[in-house]
Amino acid sequence: MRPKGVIAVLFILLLLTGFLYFFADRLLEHGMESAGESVIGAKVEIDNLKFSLADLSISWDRLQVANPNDTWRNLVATSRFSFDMEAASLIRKKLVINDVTATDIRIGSQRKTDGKIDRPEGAPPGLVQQATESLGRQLGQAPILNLGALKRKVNVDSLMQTFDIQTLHRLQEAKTQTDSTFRQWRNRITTFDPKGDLQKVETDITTLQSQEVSGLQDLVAAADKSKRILSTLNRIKTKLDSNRTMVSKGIASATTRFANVDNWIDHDFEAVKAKANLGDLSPKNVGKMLFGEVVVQPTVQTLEYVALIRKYMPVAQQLLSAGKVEKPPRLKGQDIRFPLLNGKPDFLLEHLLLSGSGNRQVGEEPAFLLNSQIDGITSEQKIYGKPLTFALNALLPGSNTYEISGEIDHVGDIPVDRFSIKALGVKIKSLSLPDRPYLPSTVWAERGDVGATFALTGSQLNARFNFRATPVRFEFTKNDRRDDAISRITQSVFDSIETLSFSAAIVGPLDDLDLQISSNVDDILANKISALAGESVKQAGVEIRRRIESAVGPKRQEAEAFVKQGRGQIMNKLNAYQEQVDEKLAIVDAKKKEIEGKITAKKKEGLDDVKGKLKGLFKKK
Amino acid sequence: MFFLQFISKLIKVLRSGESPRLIAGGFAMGFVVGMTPLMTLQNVLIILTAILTRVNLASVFFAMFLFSFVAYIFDPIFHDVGFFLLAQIENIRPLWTIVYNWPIAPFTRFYNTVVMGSFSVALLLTYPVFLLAQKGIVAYRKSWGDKLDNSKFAKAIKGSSLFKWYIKIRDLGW
Repeated sequence: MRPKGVIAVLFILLLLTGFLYFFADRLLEHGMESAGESVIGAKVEIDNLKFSLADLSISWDRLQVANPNDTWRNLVATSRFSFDMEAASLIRKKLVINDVTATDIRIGSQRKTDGKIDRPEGAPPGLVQQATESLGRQLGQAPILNLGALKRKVNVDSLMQTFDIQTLHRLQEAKTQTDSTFRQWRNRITTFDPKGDLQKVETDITTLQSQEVSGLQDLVAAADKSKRILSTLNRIKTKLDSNRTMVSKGIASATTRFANVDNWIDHDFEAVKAKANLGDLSPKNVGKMLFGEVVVQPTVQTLEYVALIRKYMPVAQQLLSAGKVEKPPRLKGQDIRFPLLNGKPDFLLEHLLLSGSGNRQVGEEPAFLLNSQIDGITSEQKIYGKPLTFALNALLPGSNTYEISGEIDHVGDIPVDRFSIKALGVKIKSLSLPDRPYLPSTVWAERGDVGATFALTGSQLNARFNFRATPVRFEFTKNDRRDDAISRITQSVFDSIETLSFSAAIVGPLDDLDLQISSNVDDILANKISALAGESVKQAGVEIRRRIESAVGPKRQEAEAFVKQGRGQIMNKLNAYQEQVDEKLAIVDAKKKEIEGKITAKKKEGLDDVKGKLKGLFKKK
Repeated sequence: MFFLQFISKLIKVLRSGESPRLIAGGFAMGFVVGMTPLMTLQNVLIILTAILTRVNLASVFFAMFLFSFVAYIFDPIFHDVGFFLLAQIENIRPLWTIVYNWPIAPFTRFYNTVVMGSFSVALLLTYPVFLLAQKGIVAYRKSWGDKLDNSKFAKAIKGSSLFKWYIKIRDLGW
């Protein structure tokens, strides 16, 4: 033992203890603030954090989390707050908190300083981008009211001359991809080619057939040989069947690319109409024009939160994937996960009870009172085994309760995120509408019913909204009031509405969402405005569709013929192999039966012979 | 400057009367620490052992420094070895699962491919490295020392301005 060494180690330990004693709180505070900021995207401030190693508790005097969308307000703020951690888990570098109850939570309170942080602008998460693009396309179909556009003459020839029909490119792209799939399968079949094996089988069959078999031993040898040939043939057949199944599936999936041609034509049609400013004034599009953005905006915002949740609460597949990372960063390697036996996730907050108020200033009435319970906040749901659930009640003064509940289920391989909002007879005040010419900018309503459900399963969205309010009053800004036919129609329509009800649905895969909105204003407004449209505009719509379809028609037929031919070639080849194998199987099977028959006969003959000899033996006696 | 001081101290150690076993022991410990990622429980324990026992500390740190470069070069191989040991041998997976569930497991980072690969390779080579180092020290003291001192390389180093600066600074007592 080195005495100086012992002193050095003791000194280091002392230094470390001292450092932790004086700076652990600061380090933890800074760590939590940084982690929070990286998740939220705005300032997270914790005042006077205290960490007690003796009873493993954390407390702070104040926490304020800035709202990333309005950095002068807090998303949430708490006053003094404390919770205990589980000691056994902390040793394993896991943070497990069983219960936290926080009262006096403030939502949306004003900040004294700006909560903005400098953050590099990254691309939005994939699912948000997909949804934004597909919903943007849907909103683009909404018409823009313009009297000049409704009355003008449309020159379809010049319009179509400068329009590049995207369906043709998509067809070509699908054809190229399908060609590559066909080539891949043709190569696979060439590699599989059982010609050599079949030739060998054929030689064996010829030998078997020409072989003179007389004695029992020859017959048994021939039977063994026929069994071997049968086994080879069955092996080829199994491979053939598996290839046939895979080829059929592969080709079926490749050819589904062509199933979307009608949708592509629809997109082209909408694009030409948008280019010519020929809005489709059908009721479904009027619904999109009036309330499209009102529905799309919260959906995209919700998706942003879901993307964030999915990032920090990954599904099991991501979590336990043990596929090799080929080139990890130098000296970093790859962490391999093993099953946890009765383990706990790295982070778990089992029960969180929150109560507080919204928009509260000093000496001011709260805008709403909030009560909520969140269960199962964890970084690894697969290990915890239960989804996160939450139930939240918000009560506005003089109003009924908003009930918000949801479930974040990332326990299985496919993440499922569900939320629902229900509020009956609640105070609404006002609802802002998108800024569009001739249309109202605000709806004022006394009371209403609001309902929404949102379910994202993998990348399949099913969001539905219902809104009903009465009595309502539509407010136009000065810019929206014009003295022309459209203005007179919109004014009279909206002035006559006493109850506003609309329902909306956003359904489908995120990259091809279908937005449907219907309201009690659509039909009236659509009929009245459509009546204003000139004959030229009405005819142009029909002509544009006809021209697109006639341009796409031949290419579509060509592509369908190409798919049929390619599929036919591959399947014919497989069928030819199948016929050969079946034919040989039948021959060998017949030969095998013949030999087995002969063996049975020989056995019987031998048995009779023995019996005869035995009888003779007794007779002699 | 630090590096020159380091080399000079090591040469002094090699020439001193210190036991070749203690110098080689330190070298082998430094070899393991240098070959593997530093911040692991096993490395902390090895360094603490080196400090507490009488192995030569200069040789520990010299080997750590030297083999950290070697580790950087062989990092992809360590990743492959670690992945093989952790994920591709089915028979020892139950053992890893048990170890993974030990409370200290997160501090060892054994489940990291580079940690596992480099530590396994380093452990396998520790004894050969110890033996080679021991023999090398004995051989150095017997014959190489004087030859190295009189070599053109050593003379060139001693004649360099950097070395002269080092001597001046050293003699100033800094």
